[in-house]
Amino acid sequence: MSLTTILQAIVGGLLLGGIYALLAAGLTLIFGVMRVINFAQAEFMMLGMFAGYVITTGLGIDPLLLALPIGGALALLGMVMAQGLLERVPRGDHNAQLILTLGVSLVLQNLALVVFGPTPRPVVRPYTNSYWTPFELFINEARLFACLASLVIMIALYLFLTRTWTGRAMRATADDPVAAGGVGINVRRTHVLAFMVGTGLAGVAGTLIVTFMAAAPSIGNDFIIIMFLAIVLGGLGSVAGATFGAFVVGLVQSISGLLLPLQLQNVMLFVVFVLILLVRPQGLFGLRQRV
Amino acid sequence: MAAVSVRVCRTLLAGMTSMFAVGLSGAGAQTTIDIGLMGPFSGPWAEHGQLMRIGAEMAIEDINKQGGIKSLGGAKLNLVVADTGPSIETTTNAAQRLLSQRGLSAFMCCFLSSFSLAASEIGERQQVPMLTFSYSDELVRRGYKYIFRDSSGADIQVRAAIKLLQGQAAANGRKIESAALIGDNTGATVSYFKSLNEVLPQNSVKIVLNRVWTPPLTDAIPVALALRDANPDIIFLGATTFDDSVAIVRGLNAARVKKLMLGNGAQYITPEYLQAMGAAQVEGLMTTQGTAITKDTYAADFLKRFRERTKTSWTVHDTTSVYSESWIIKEALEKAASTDPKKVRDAISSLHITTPPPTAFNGSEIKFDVNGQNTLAPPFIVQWQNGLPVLVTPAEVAVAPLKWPS
Repeated sequence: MSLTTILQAIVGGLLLGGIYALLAAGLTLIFGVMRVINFAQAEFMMLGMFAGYVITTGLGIDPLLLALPIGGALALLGMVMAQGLLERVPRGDHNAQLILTLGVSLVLQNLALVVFGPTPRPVVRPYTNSYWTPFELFINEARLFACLASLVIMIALYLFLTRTWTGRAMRATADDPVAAGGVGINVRRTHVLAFMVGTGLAGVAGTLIVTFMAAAPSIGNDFIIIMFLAIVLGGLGSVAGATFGAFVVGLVQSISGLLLPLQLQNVMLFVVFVLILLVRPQGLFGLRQRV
Repeated sequence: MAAVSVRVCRTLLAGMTSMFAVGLSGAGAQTTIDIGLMGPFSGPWAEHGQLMRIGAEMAIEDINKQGGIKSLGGAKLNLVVADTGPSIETTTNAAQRLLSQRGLSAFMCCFLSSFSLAASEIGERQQVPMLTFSYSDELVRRGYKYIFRDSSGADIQVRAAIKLLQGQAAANGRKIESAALIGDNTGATVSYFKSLNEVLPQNSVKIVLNRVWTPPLTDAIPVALALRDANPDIIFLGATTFDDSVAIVRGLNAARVKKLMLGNGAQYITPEYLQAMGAAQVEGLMTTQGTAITKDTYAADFLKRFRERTKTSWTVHDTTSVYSESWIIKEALEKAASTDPKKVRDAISSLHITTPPPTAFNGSEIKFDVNGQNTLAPPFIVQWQNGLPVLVTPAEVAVAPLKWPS
């Protein structure tokens, strides 16, 4: 096995991880602040893909420029879901929350099927079929741009959570909602905001992903397990952990393809998952008392 | 007054009952016959299900317009559709529901071989005849009585493809001595690769690379680079999902792997595939098909109507196979003069169809052997030429000769 082959696998894994990170960060933020497992998260990504497809093919605007506006629109849809549905479910009733988000996921999938039909909708930009080839490596430009955009957004998210009052309020609510309420934080509003940021991130990710994968109603099924693996590996509720977990997932998928038959790629992923949880049941970045 | 009312009610009731009875006795002239279509209408293969549905709907419209089933008093066909969903488990559930709750005379199923294999178990058990164009040869090797395949399967296609391509290679002053097999682990590809593993060595072709994955493929580049290093004379592609079939050819082009490439199914020649790839990227790429738009005039007219209906320039075997199969069921119903699935099964097994519509798409007469295989079915190979998928073999019905990739 040559050094180029190994480097290619690492680069491929990092590119995958960069995209997974955005998806996982949104999911874990929602869980961390609201204690809600949003099974509809991948469908928000799917909606982002379709929005990117419709606007790009209709108006010719590049999806990379649309990522933030589409993310904003899906954040508003997230607000409707949080206020219109999730707030009506008794707080702490995880079964009801689970069934609700699963139901929303099915509704969104089927709505997309009715509106767009089952045919995959590819977006083709000049960079979709182009490859950057430094040091004999092959890097798809669409994946590279998506990964870079994802990293920029992750940095912005980090700054938002650590440097702004609203971001700190979210973290405080995640740590202890009662104490957060005690110091004047509007916990209800913070919950809704966290859900908006989470679904908005999924929308941004979808708009970036559509530059190299076709939009389809069931595309979320390919990502939802990966998202959950990443956030559990990183530690439920930890944005930094989810990001790290996403890169671990991407790298394991990519590197295991070198060492084992491709069919065992996901088996290897679950083996690593089980091994990490055996050593650290709370995940790589999770706090023991949270689990 | 009350007595009169009771009498009136009794009279009305008696009248309604007798009318109902007359209605039932007239049921001998049946007005509709249910036939089923199972396909992936949701999930990663949904576009193929949609194309199947168009084929079935067009056939049933044509049959009903021409007077329905004449031996059953002009009974009209009614299509009952069931979604296989994305997995074998959902297919099994859908088949159980469809076949136990609806009195179907026959059904067509299911695009993906894995799904057809699952549904065939239920069809055989419930004794409802099933027609399929799925590639897996297991479908017609288990001695089942109710499963029929009108088109060629993996084994026939592979043997014919090797023969054709080696002949073409010789004509172009080249040789095919090595091959690579890359694809997912769904039923059709497993069957396709199983046949290739048998047939290639018999034809002095060495398999230099074999890569199989569980869909979706996360990154096609490592596979493309392994192919570049292995440097085979021909690549057999077995990716079945849209994104995987796009990613693998995109990766091969990026790695400058310019080889003869043969896929196994319609996913490589859909309009969306061309849209995602562009004409230059797919030029010369070939794929196998169970049925096709041959140069028969009936097929040409069908394509014209398909274009008017869908505003799409061409179609693939998902549509043509189901269109043809609907007509085979029609012929069987005529022959059986009954909607009883057992009698329909017996009629299918003894059919010998020699005229269009079915022959215009199957490229042959249709006659099933004891295992339910149409032994006369030829293999079809379609190749991208100047942005259009054209039928290049068999020569008798092909619309253009095969172009050797430059």
